[in-house]
Amino acid sequence: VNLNSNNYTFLQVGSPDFGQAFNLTEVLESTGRVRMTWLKDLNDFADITVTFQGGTNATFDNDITGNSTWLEFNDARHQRVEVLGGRRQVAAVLHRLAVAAAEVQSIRSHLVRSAVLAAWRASARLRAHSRRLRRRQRFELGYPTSGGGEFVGPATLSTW
Amino acid sequence: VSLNGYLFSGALKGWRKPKVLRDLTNANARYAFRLPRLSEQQALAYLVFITQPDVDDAVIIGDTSYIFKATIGAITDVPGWVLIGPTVTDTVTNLIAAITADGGTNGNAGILYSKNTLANSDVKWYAEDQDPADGLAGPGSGS
Repeated sequence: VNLNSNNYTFLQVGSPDFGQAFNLTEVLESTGRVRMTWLKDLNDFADITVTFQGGTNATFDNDITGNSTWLEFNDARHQRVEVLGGRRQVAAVLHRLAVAAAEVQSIRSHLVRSAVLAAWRASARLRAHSRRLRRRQRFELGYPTSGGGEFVGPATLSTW
Repeated sequence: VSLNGYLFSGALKGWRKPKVLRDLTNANARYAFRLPRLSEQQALAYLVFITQPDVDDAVIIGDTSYIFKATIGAITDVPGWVLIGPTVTDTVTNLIAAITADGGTNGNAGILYSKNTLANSDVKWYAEDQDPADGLAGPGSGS
């Protein structure tokens, strides 16, 4: 890095995870900034620090135009998802859908909640009946057209 | 004057004109659901080497101390000693090896850093066969 018109070698270290709490992790050196110095950035020698800096907690923009990923479905009544792979992959995808429930902001949220509830139930069912499953599994995240919102049998699962 | 009332014009118009947010990726899709993306940052710090460290100069990262030494004996069992290399870059490389314990393998323990040096739990590091996570950098160097 070039500081004060000289090039210096530097070491970058970071916290083991995201989060503001890691800004309390101490970084020290014994030379009194003669041979080494800890900086919070690589802009200026004046930017000294004695802890990690810049860690932030997770936030998200709940505005409809905020930064986001969109899930698109052809049919709200039968939101289809296809998972190729074994039991673990299928369960992982269904688990992701279930976990996403807390962060889902939907145009028609009741549909999503139904689908997520069905996914959660299906995930539990998959774990319970894992031995019966074959390598290629097809499932339908069933909006409750019948069977009280349960997962309704073989179908396809589209991508997002 | 009316209380809690409003005038209805009789015009059968919506209050707001729909606004296009984005085109669908799937032209056949009829329903879309939004998953907000998370924004989060890793805490970082940079140790700039002005010169080579002297023997017994120390660096502390979290709860772990590293002390620079001119030699690392194979039988040295004091953790956290780091060999001063021929250049600053070599010294930083040795320090990274000590911080990560060679990606958890301790391959250079007793050579570049002393034995019994564990990987630093206050620092993100990756095993050799581990893919880095998005936004979480392991120890690195530059010049």
